[in-house]
Amino acid sequence: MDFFISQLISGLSMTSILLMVSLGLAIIYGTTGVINMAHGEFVMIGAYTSWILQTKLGMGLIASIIPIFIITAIMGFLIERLIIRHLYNRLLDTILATWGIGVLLQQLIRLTVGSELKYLKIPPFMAESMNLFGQEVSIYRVFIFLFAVAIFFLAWFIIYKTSFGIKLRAVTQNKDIASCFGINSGVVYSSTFAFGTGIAAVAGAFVAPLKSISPDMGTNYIIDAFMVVVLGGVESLIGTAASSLIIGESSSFLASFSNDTLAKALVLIMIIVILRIKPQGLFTKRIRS
Amino acid sequence: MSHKNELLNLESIVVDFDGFKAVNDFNLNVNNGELRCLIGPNGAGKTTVMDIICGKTKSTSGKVIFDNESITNLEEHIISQKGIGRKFQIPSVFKELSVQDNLYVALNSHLGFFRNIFKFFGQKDKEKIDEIAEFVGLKDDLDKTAQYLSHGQTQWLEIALVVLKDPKLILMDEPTAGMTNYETSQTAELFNKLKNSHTLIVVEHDMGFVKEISDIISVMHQGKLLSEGKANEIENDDKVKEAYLGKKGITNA
Amino acid sequence: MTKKILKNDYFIYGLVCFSLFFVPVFLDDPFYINKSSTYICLGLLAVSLSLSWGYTGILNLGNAVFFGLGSYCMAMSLKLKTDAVHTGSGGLPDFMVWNNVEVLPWFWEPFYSLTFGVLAGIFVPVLLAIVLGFFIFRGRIAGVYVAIITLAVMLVVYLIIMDQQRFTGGFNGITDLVMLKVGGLEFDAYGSSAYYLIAAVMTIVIFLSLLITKSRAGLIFQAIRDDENRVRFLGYSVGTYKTAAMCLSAAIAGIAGMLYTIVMEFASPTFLAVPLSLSIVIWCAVGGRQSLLGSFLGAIVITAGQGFLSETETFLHTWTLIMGLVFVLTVLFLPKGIAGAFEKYLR
Repeated sequence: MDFFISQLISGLSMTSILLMVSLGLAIIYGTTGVINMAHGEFVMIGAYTSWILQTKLGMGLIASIIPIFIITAIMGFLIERLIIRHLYNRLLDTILATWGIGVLLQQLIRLTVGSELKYLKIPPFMAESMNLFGQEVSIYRVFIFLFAVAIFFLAWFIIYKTSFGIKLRAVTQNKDIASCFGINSGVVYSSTFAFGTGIAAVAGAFVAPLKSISPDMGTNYIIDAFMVVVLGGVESLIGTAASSLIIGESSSFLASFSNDTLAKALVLIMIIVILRIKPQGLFTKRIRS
Repeated sequence: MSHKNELLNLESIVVDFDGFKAVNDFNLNVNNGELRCLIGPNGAGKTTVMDIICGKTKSTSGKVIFDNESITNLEEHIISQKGIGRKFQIPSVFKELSVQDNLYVALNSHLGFFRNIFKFFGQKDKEKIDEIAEFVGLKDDLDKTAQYLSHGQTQWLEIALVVLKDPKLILMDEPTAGMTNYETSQTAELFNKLKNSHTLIVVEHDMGFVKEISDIISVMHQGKLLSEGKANEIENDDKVKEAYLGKKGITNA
Repeated sequence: MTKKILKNDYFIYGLVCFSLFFVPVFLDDPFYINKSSTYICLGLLAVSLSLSWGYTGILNLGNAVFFGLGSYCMAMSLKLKTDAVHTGSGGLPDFMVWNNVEVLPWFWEPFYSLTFGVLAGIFVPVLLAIVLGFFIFRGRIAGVYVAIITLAVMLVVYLIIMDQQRFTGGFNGITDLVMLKVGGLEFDAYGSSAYYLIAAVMTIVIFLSLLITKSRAGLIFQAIRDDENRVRFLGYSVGTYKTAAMCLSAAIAGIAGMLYTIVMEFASPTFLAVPLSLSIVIWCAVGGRQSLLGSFLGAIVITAGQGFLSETETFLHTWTLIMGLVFVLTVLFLPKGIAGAFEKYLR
């Protein structure tokens, strides 16, 4: 029983990180159809921004959340306006363009901040562990979990309970008709992109203390995030949450029987098989093509 | 009409999209050599019926029988090989290939990969292609890349692609959409040429065109067959007037 | 008149291949000859993606997996010809000994034969392509999902190779290989012998690929790229053709991988990793993915540029930065790459 609970908790920790990282990607892909291969790099940017704010300006993690979000959201907004908006009629090319942007962001970091690994400490008041259902769990990880849930509900609220959300959903379903109703799809797309990249950066800030910070840390996250989004089904927030859970728990579970590497391989195989059976993801509807 | 003359039977076709029945217990019988027009308001299910026949969409229930053989829910290329050709609403040709190359792809009785690796364009192919290009009025545009054709020309190219395979049944989905009056009358001429050697089912909105080419008209409404008969019968049918044509009849639709 | 000659593909391809044979005449330094050999291998790798992506429309983000598998097959054969550590010729490869492996694994055995190794270098990737093809294309998976699944498959292979260190060399790969010897010929990785071998194979492969693109099957590939539904409704089994395109692509990549191992003198998991796989996409996008030669030259120019600038790290990073920018600009303004722009000019 103990083992089961500890597995569950460690899986939930992974789930929450996956969810935070993937949420932005899911929203961007779901709304605009843009496949943002640079998403991992935005996570990386968030981590580096956090590092700069903390080491150079002495800011704490919590205090830096808003600045990190704003700085990255502006970057995302600019990138959408300058580059992405030219590609809405050829969405598959967004894989290429955003991959290029990712390369650019990585190289810019290498040339300015440098390629050596950077480290951040977990905020001291969260560095201890607490007792949860009989297990010793890092408070920081619990915090990440709670924050991920909060962000998820924030996103859900914005999309389903605000007028901006209605516009966003309208534009997702049918951009042209939405325009006929006076909805400025350009603004919706830019804001969505900004929001999505902003969340990614915040996720990066949270993830930073857990391992190390490097210019190429984004590469791992993009693949994980993609698997989450594609498995969950496009246009489904619930799907994103569910697939984060599935992938998080099974990774953790499988890792306890073998090792991280093999666990990752097995999870990937599982995803490939599921995609083959339900190519549109786990939570989509059948529509007239 | 004897059963022997029937080429296509649709029996109790239902197509259910997540609760919405696009096609609801639909029946259709088309005879050999006929030119049947399928009309009805938008959303009536006409294109979905075409999709069912050629295999693009799978039916939820019901049967499709072609030339006394069940083709229900078979794969598209198999259905195509059995002799059904489909022309789409949005012209689908190979945009980056030349007109000649487009036709070369269609002109083929050997469909397997290994045979086609060793086949190259030859004189015999050129002759057949010139012939069909003449038939659809594209003889002077053989070297043009398909994306630079006018809308009407693209429609004709697609018709040529379909006709090249000499299918027994040709499905045409709004063939005159976007065409000028001149192009529309050319298309009517083309259809009348095709009529007796092939069977055609045409989905259309242009009533003048429909009157010019059709033998029998089938009217669809909300996924069902509303009415069926010759042009003047349909024109005077109250149900049809209410659902689709309006009080003034075909000529004003 | 010049335009007409330039429009003749066979002539241009012939010219490029022919001139590549003269490189060792002008380059004396064995280091640069070796580098040039590697660039040609990567050029072939780009050709393989061009066939599946540019011609058939299959964005295979995991194309490097075929390259890597080919390179490992060649490495395995060459390793078994190398004098092993501790146990002498005919014994176990050194890394196995270090990992306490007692007996040569069954799947290593056939690689004692170089012929088997070479055939495996082609057929193992092709076999994977067939499996993938049936899996992906029979399931009517298209667009983005193909890209993701192919990337995931490559990752799975990469992770397995990394994990099974005792049998695959893991992180370090398979190193310390003998020179390739066939018949009486020796192919020195740093000499013109290896270069000429690679140039010869490259010429044959490129011309065969060109022929394929000009056959009716090649035309059908392009038709599938343009409108696969229409191809289906003309009676063709699109899934079969897509799988065939992927197999051809896999074979070419496998051959490129084998040649690469010969000149690099090792096989490493980086040969089937994400950075390489995505680089191939950049080479094809910039060079022109709808042109075999465009992709080939794109790869050569970009990797050669990278090679000459790796003097300092800053140069390398700046070059990569510029490449990233060029890539983005190409996607925006030159979707058919440089070859595409050239072709437009020829019209």
